[in-house]
Amino acid sequence: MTLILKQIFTLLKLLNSETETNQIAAGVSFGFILGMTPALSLQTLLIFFLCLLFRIQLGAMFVSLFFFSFIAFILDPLFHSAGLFVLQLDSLQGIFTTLYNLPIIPMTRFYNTLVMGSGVISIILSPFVFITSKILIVKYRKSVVERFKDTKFFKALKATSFYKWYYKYDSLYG
Amino acid sequence: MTASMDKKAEEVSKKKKPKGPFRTGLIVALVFIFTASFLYFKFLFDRNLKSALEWTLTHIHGAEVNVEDLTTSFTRADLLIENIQFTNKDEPKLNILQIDSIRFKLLWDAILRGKIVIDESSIKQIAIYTERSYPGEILPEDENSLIEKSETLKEGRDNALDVAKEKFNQNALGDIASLLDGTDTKTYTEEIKDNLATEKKIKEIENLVDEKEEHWDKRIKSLPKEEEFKKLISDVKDTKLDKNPLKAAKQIKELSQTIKEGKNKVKQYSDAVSQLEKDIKIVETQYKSIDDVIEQDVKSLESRYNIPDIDPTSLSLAFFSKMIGQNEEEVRKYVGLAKEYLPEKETVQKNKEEKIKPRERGEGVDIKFPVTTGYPKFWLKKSVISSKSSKGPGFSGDLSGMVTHITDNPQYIKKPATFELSGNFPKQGFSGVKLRIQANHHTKKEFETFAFSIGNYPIKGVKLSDSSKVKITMSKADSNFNLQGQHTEGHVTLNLRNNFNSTKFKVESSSDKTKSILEDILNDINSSYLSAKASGKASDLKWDISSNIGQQIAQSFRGLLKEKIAKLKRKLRESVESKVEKQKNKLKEKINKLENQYKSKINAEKEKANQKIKELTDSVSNKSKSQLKNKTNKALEKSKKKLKKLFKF
Repeated sequence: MTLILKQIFTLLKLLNSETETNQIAAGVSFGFILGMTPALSLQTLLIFFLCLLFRIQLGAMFVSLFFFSFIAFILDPLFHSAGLFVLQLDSLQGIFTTLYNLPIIPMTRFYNTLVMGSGVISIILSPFVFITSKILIVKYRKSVVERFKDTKFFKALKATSFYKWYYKYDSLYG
Repeated sequence: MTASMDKKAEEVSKKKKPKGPFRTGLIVALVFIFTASFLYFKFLFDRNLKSALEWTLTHIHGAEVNVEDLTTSFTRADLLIENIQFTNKDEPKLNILQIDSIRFKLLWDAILRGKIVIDESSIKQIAIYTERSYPGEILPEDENSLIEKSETLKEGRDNALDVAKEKFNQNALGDIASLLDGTDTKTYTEEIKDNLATEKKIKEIENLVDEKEEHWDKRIKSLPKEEEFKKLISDVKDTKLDKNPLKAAKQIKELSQTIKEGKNKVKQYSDAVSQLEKDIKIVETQYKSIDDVIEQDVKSLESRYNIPDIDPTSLSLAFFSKMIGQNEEEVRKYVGLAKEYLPEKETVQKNKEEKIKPRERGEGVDIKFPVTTGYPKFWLKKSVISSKSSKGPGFSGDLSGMVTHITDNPQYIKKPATFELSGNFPKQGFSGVKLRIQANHHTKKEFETFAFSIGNYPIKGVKLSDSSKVKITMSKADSNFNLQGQHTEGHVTLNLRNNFNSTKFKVESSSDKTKSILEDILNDINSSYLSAKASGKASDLKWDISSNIGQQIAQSFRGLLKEKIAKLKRKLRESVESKVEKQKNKLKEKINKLENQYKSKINAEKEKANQKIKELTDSVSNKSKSQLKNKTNKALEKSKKKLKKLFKF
């Protein structure tokens, strides 16, 4: 829990900084994929491992996962229909049968309509989520953060010794 | 403080390098975890698993279990357990079972599919009652033994002897000894004080007769009365026919309805008579069944007063019952234990149904693809058992055998589970031991077959009869044994044959006469056999036992005791009959009363009613005749007048 909270605070800080948009956007898009997947399966663990291995913003991933889990619940019927369509495609029956009889692969539960449907849709949509979130972050920084920095309140706060002390402390240990 | 922090901040900003795409800290942590795991599995895992296995087996067995060595291989997916010793709880200096090595080789392909498939396994050098290097520790039985934890074993142990005693408590030999001793026959024939089933039955029939009497009293009262018929007749007589022929015809029609009403009233009497006859028939059938209940009472008393049947079957049963009964209960105990661990077909089907059922919203539906290379959850493909007899004091033998296709889903592999064992136990003199069990759970109708035979084995001091009156021990014999059986959906059939050669018996009896007769019979028997068939539910087998010993004993005793037994049985029957005679006669009287009193009463009333109906019919008939006569006369008069007018008279 501490790790998640720390990551969320880092996310807030990064959002308000001037760099690292890719990390945040990647976190959002990975969180989108994880949030859409209905249950714990092998590919969920794999994506989570990739998030840990690469410098992807985990706070963004957790927030995105939490948010998209609720949306996924509403989209379940759509995922089920999409999964059923894919799994029943005649041209793919051979490959699905082979995968079904391979070791390890069945642990991904690809044969489940919801897993397949949500997997296909979320992977197709993840680049769009990545680009959209990146654009939104830039816009947020321009329209919200910049305006806030121009306010008298922020300027007054910036002039205080407490802020200076905090700024230096953060650059050293933050 | 601020100045020092400024300085430090400048240094940090100078040193700060751009971060790469990987979290290097995580990679280091992963490398550390994998290295630590590898080292643990390489150097400590086997030792820890061995200790865990020893601890678990010790607590299941209830006494110390030792494992000399345990080796696992991750790459080969195999497990080797060497020298397992189970301490004998009764004598801790001995092992009750010692196995030199057990090896299991699993399939990695199956493990990666989340299944356990034992491709090969072997159990080598099984020995029992071997000496231990030090006495094993015994755990307190009330808490730790398997027999206390397993309900089946516990029940089996508690009930085994009781059931054997109850089921085979027909100690005909002891009863015969009592008769030969000349037990006072008054014991059997004195007045029977207990309540008999016949008395209960008579009471029941009496109650039934009382109920019927009450019913018929009410029914007779509800039948049509004489006054009702008189009223009908007076109504008919009082009716004066109208001069108008049309109105008169209508009146006659109404009178016919009155006759119909009267006839319906008579029909009520006829119905009552036929119903009464039916009731009497029911009561009489019940009365006749009293004789069958008397027969049951007599049989029950014969059994309670231990009046034996001198027939070869019951004597064979008495002779070998102890031996068969105890063995049956032992087998049942372990079959019960095996059942606890065998999957039931119903469970498998239930699981299948659950899988087929579509999941609720939010869980999707699992699409099934053809399984080309799959496994059941658990499958022991083959396990080889081998053992060579040791020179030590323990019970060991030259054994070889095989266990195949033990699985939780036999329908999937479509093969029967088999257990085969054959060999000899030279030290104990057992040769030609063969055991084959086949569980056909892959077929639609599940069944198990089993065959067990011992080519030759010695018998020393086997107790056959152990009653207070007679004790018979087979002190020596060379024997061979053959058992075949089948179990199908709770129904068991068994076929057993045991041949005994060069037999020697030891007879003990409180009666010298019995002892001498039995010794004479048994000493003449050099070779004998026991043939037994059993069938029925596994929990309640019906045994049919025959043996030449039973036949010879029956032949010898029949001459001596036939008359005496027949006399006792006759007297017992007379006692029962005399006890219930009074009640039986009283009941007969009641039945006769029911028949005569009510039947004659209804018939008399019916006769009266019939007469009234006749009177009623005649009266209506006369009225209609006179009406017809008047009509005819009037028509004639009219015709005469017309003729006179025509011819002008």
